[in-house]
Amino acid sequence: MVMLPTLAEVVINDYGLALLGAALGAGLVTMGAAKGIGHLAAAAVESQARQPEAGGRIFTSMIIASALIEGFTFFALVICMQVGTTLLKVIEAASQGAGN
Amino acid sequence: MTGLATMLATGDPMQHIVPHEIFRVGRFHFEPWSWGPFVLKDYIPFTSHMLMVLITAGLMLVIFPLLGRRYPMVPKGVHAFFDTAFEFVREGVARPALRDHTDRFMPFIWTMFFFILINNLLGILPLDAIATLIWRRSHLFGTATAGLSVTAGLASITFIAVHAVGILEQIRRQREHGLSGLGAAGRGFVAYWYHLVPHVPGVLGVLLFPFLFVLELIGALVKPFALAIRLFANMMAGHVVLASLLMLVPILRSYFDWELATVTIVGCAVYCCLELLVALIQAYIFTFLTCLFIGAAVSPEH
Repeated sequence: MVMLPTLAEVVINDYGLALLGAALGAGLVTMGAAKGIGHLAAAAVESQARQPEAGGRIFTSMIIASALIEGFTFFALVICMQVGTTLLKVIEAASQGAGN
Repeated sequence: MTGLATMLATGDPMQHIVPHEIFRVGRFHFEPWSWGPFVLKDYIPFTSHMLMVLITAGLMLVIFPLLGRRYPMVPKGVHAFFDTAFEFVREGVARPALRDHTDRFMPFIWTMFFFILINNLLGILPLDAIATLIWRRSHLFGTATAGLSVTAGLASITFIAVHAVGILEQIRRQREHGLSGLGAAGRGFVAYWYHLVPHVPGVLGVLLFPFLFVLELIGALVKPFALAIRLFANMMAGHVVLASLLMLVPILRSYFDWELATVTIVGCAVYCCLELLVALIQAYIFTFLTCLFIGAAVSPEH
């Protein structure tokens, strides 16, 4: 039986929690956007199958709606990026100074 | 191939997005009581984003007047090539939103569409890589619309255009009713903010008016903000993904030397095709939403 090497001791502090929040947030945002745009694409394709001569206008509406959904998706992603990079330095300084 | 990929990559993928300083000029204040009439305060950098905006403006100022000089009744050749885009923007984007006022706003809408489109497309061209190979100086070019400053400027122009057009339209309506001069201007200004809120009949309308007004005010601020962030984040995300893919090559060099580099560069080239689609769609969406907001401000439904 192979002895697994012991993991390093894990300390949970604000720095790690901030990164965890940013990464989990980005993943959740992507999940929500993908589900929403998936519904939209399903409805668009089905209605194009029902009425092929309206295909161009349906495609246009689909593009516009998906761009609007992606708009606020990217807004949330930008917030996650700010937490992960810019605010991380603030949180790191605060956790080094106050806690520990 | 590995050397090429290593040189194109940087340690930090954000370095391809962030504007880089090319040269700096001093910012002088007029302070004659100090040691001289003009005192150096700090430096204003001339960044790569500014250079890209100037290149786009130069291209547009050269190409479009030459195109429009003798525009044939039946477009041929290069006129036909641009006519597709012009007609698409006018009939597909602007006319459904601004029904009767389309011709009034077409120069503005065309300028905005082609400015954003050319900036997005110049970001996909590897000008930066070619400049690095020739002049050994990195980050001379970039994507202008991948910086929040440029997209916030465009969204501010949309904001100013929407409210200015709405107020001028209300003033014109007051003039039609017989008022004149300052009275028409004042009543028109107030009428614009009053007509922002949709009309609810009865007592309910009077009660709901403050809430709906605050909601419309917040919407008026949030809509251009969302425009700026949407364009900025879409362009930035494409370049960050490309830079992150290229970043793999120098990191994993000891395991896969030229196989990884070839596959990565071919993959990046294919990803650029998706980025082309995103560039076109984002220019279309920005222009379409601008037309929608101007149409809502100027339409006679109030």
